Amino acid sequence: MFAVFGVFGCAASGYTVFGEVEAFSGDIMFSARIMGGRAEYAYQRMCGVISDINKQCSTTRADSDVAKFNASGANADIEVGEHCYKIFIEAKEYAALTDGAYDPTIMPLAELWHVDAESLAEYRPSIDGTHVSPLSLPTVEEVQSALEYCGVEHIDAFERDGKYYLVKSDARVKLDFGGIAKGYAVDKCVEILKEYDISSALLDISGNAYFYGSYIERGNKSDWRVGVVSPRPRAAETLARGYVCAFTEKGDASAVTSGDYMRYYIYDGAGDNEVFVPHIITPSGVPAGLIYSDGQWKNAGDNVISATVIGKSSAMCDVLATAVVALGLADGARLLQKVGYKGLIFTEKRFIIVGNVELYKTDEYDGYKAYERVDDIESGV
Amino acid sequence: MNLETVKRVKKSKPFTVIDAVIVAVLAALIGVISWLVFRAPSAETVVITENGVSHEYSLGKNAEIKLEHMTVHIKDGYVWVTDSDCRDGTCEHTGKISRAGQSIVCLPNNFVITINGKGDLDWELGRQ
Ligand SMILES: [Zn+2]
Repeated sequence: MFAVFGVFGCAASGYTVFGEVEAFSGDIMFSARIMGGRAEYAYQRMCGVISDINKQCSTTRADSDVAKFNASGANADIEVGEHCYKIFIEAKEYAALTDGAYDPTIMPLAELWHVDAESLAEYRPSIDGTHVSPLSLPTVEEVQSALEYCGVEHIDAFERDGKYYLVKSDARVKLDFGGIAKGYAVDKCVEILKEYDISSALLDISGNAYFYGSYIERGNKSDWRVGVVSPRPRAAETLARGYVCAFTEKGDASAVTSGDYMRYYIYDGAGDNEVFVPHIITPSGVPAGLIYSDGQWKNAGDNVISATVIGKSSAMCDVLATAVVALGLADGARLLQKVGYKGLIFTEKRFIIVGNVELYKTDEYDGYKAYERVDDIESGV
Repeated sequence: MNLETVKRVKKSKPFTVIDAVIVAVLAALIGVISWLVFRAPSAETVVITENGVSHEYSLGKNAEIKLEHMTVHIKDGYVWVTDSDCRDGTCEHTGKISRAGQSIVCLPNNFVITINGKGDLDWELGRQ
């Protein structure tokens, strides 16, 4: 639960600033800046909705609907809340849209690779330079057999007498809404902002940002100025926080960045083979950027290390950011073009801008200049 | 410096008020220019403002700042407040902030902690 509702103070900017609340025992961080309308009421309503969504969808709470579903046996109708049901329906559409690059059912693979929330809490490298390596990585055969019970086709969703149900065809099937629930929550919060006549606001739920209306400074409307955190060095290697670039955004849009540098661990393989294992799993069942060669898992090299997606729906931005990391630079860029969302995609060496993203202060926020720009997707394969 | 020069210096007019003003203005100009030129593109800072008086700390450097009304902790890129003597306790309940643009506010103590980013950005992405 939220420690407190309605923490606010009036900043000189005219926005009511709600300090970031570490909510739901650290599951979700929510912060907001709101101008105009009934800011405090809107904030409290939003907290309530986020809390409801988290209660239904958290994988780390044993009493959540998702946890109940994950623990259930085959062919048992599990009653779930409306949010949980609607997120599943939306997630299923996105899984189809992205050809499985986003998949809400890869929880068994995430556990196999130790990149589920619980395992990462244990293995994420610490800022003092130390890390704990899992004892082993899965075998190719283990990955193949887990893939057999991943996929939305193993889950049926239906409504009956005003109640919502999910049912699985195989007891091993598990859901994880980590790549969509925060975005879905942001979209619900935006509906609330409309109800309360808010004129301008910035919302952020654990990295899913939404820019509501224009940015307003001393009564003048302007664009939002947004920095994209540099993906290198990785999180545990530095506290110095540079930006790889910054961009401006007119507003009424969400932006989400996904990458391989925040949630990952280092596996100490044979000899000097240190493998960086990120939390995003590709459709082949392997974490982004890993290949199997000479009898061991290795980092392949030029995978996507940071993908920022900008567009109307925050749930879709959330999903697409994950999908782009899973797909790689060229296929990721093609996906964004297909659905008409904007984006900034970085690999270790290259970057591409999809759609009309206005970079801001390119002399000051110039980290991207260390990467080679790919102008044409087809040449970026 | 030879003797001739020393004599000439001794004979010259004493340092006047106008000279002092010119020197001060020049010094100030040099100061401002070098600040503008050499201002490091620093990482985020934590600005603590109490009754309108601000102090700046580095977000990248762990610190425990004991103040009259509360203790401010800066650790591993996070900032939070403990031991506040305010009646509502909202500053403590705000929890940990870590990103540019975020604040912790204590209305009873007229106290604000803000994380300032590099430059003039309104928000940042990719920290989670
Ligand atoms: Zn307080």
